[in-house]
Amino acid sequence: MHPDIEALARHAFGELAGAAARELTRHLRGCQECHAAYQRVTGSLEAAPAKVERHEVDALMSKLRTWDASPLRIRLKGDALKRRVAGALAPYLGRAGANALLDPVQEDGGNLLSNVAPALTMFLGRRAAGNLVSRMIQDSTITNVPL
Amino acid sequence: MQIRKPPPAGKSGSPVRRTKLLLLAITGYVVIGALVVAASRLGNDAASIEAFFRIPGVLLTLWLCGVGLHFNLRVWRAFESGEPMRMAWKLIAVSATSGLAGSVLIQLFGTGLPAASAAAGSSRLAMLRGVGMALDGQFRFAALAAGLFLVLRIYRRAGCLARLRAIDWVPLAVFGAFIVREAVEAVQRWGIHPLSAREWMNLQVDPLLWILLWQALLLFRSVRRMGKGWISQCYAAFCLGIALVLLGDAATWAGNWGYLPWLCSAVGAYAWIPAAGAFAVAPALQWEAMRSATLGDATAGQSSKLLNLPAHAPVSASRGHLRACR
Repeated sequence: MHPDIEALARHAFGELAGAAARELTRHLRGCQECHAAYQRVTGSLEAAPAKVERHEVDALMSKLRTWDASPLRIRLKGDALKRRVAGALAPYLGRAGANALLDPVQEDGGNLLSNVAPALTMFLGRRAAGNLVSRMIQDSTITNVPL
Repeated sequence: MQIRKPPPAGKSGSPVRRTKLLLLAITGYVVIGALVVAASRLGNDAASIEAFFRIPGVLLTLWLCGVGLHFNLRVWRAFESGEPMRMAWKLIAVSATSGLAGSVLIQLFGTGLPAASAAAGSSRLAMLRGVGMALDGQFRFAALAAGLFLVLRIYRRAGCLARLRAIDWVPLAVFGAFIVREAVEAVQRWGIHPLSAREWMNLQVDPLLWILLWQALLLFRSVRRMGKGWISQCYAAFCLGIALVLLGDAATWAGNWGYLPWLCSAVGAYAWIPAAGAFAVAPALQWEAMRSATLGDATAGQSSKLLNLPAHAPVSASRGHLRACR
């Protein structure tokens, strides 16, 4: 079974220990897809992981849990989900850039944030990308109208 | 999804307004400059061109450098400590600071203003002008090249870095040949008399400009692949600025060696002001992107209209389209 984004983020912040960390490391060695997702997560934090404040980690985890619980993931899948997110990203990254970023996203959107958030953070900064991701999650949770 | 009403016009001093003001100022200057050149060609009046390029050009250049530095600093501070882009924008801000300081020194002590000439002796004048040229030349371009190198690394890490096309090697080869020829000429002159400080500086600046051209072409290919967005527009503005600097540099060189009539040389030198404008617009666009992402759709709506960017509407992306964009 593939690890979720929360597990990857916890691993990136060094919060996983013991058997869980070893198992995840072993899985990352064998699974190219998860390895790529993990690279993206660590890529934006590579320069100074030690400087990340505790409350920032908590805020990120909270966002990721909200995303996991979001009805959007249940209601929107595949192209509909990608179209929705691409619409929010296009003014910043360009249409092709947004679509390319969303290409590896799974049908159920399970790895959506692990694909989108690191690239957004790289180009827009942690603060701006965090707010944009928060809004994407908020918009997704109040979605009632089908596309 | 809830549809929000478009917000009222941007507040005074917002990045949207400043970007618009920058674009208007540069466009206005280019149009007026073209009219002055055309009129002087008809009447063969060299003095009117000189007058046009000197005082308003100096003031506009300094203003553009100042505005560019202002936005560079804001963008740099907006990235948090440890973020990869922070160092890139720090170097770009250093480049802008160096460019502004150099421009001030060159304009004060290089244009022969009487007050400045009186305040400083002729040897000190030459020294200050040389410092200005070094700040606006080597230091500025070296810092910019270092900053753009980090930007390209981030593009590669994000999987957005494109490759150069075969046609891109043509300008690189032409400019490379220009550098080699300039170096050969300098060596030949060195046999006759020692090179001046200015000649030494030119020898150092041109290889830096070649690196910047290579970076600009890579960035240009990458942003074209990403499509129209604030981030792409920002780095496209850097590419345009570098292209205009190269044009100005080549025209100045050609004018000095008598390869072009003086009028064409003056028009080539005129490219420096739109170049300063492009370097000012680039951080303004990045700042606007960050501000809009932080504040929400409010500013995004206005900016999309102003810069003709795609709005927050869902894009029509089929599976084939998604694959085609990879």
